[in-house]
Amino acid sequence: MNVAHGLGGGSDLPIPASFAVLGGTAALALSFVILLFAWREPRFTNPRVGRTVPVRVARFLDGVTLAAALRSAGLVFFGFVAVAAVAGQDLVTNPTFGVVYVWLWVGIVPTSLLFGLFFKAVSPARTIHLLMMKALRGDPAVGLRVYPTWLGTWPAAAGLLAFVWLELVSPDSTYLGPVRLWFAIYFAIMLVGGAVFGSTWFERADPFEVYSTLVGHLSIFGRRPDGALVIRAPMRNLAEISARVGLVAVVAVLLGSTAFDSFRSSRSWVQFSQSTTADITLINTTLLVGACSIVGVTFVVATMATGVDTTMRRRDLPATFAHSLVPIVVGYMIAHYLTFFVEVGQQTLAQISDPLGNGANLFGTAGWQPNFWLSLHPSMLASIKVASIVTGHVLGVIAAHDRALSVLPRQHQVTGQLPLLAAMTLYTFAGLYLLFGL
Amino acid sequence: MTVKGDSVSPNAERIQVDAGETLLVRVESDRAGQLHVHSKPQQFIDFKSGTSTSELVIKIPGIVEIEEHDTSAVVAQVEVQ
Repeated sequence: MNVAHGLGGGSDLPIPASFAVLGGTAALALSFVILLFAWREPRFTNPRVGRTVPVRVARFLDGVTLAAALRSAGLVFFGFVAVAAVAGQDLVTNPTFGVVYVWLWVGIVPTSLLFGLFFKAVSPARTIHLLMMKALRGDPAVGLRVYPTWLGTWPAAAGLLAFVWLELVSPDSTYLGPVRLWFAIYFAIMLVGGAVFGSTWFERADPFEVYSTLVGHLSIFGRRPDGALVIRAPMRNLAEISARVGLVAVVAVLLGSTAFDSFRSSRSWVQFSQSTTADITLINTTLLVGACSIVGVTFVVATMATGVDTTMRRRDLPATFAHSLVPIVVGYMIAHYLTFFVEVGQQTLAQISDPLGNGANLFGTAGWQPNFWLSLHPSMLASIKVASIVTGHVLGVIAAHDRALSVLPRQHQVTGQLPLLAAMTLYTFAGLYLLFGL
Repeated sequence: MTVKGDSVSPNAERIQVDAGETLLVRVESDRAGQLHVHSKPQQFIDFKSGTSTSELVIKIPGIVEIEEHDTSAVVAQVEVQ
């Protein structure tokens, strides 16, 4: 019997049935409106579009000073949490857990939506790699070998799966030892990979950076092909995500694992876990991998189930369309984690003042009580959750529609979208159903 | 609820209450222990060997698990409206 009790208090009330039905109907209806009445020529294909940022602002944002300040802040903060993780008490009140599972894991979404490539700018693994290469007088961009194209973002997908396994399946997710071990392995792999493949490794293999960069493509900050910093519609940035091998796997892990998290706290699953004599960790591992695989396989099948012509390869289609799942992931993450982020996030802010559990109050926040305003307004909370799922779905369908117009042969542009539309609707219905509760 | 050594019942029973309503928790146990109430903020109920009754008030709406500490068994999921 090991129902791992994560951080913080209870979970949200299930959303009312009427909200779920309304959200599902809206998602389905809007999908067909987009398919039948939206534009007929692709709109997001020109990477040169965008309003250039004033020269001075661009010089500051791209400058050495800001980069160094962000890198130092990231490294100092990492050092601070490492001290808490090594020298602090092995209690759930140790801020390490809140920093890892709330500020880092959930915080990637808001910080990347607001600032773009946020994790890349503060990543302690990247900074350590940079410092090591400086000390050795080497170029951090160049490694001993060229990063192989066939590997794509598969290492990041594996890293993300390892992280969600630690958080959602491992019975020891709120003990310091396993968390320290996880991050020791993460840093070892990052630094060795960085030395072998140069900084490309972090772009393709760091689970947090890959996740943050995907979500960051829904921010207003983009780059023109000449490197100039521009401000443009998030949907245009989204279309700039490179269609790499393994991209589908990354998105599938993000979506599948969140669905698994909803499922594992349902009452029927808790009752089953507590009454069975089978190895529940093994069952949960299988379910987690199964949920991610279902998302990945349905997406691959749906994107490939279209008419093609001789100029394109069918097996390139899943990666070509994978960016369209990013808004769906973000919408579901917001719905699933909003209260957790706001409430346990505040609790972490209080805990961070006392990293070693000796009654210190380093930042004056130790006595702070979280504000439960969100939980006290359950109807509004349910509306926000349904709205973010439906918005994510609609943006995903729009992104896929625009991509279909630019890559599919003209006679298949409408029918070719139908299987993907069905897959997205399936994800959205499943998401709403899980919020409605089992 | 009933506690006999490592065996704890009921198994994740769903209970519905209103926020601020008083819930009576009656424990029949052959040992002392503690219940963790995963409300916001967390609450703790100590019980001793024999029969004990405690009052529990949950103020913030949500699904709140009540867990027996030693066994990590979830005895109830309280739906607080």
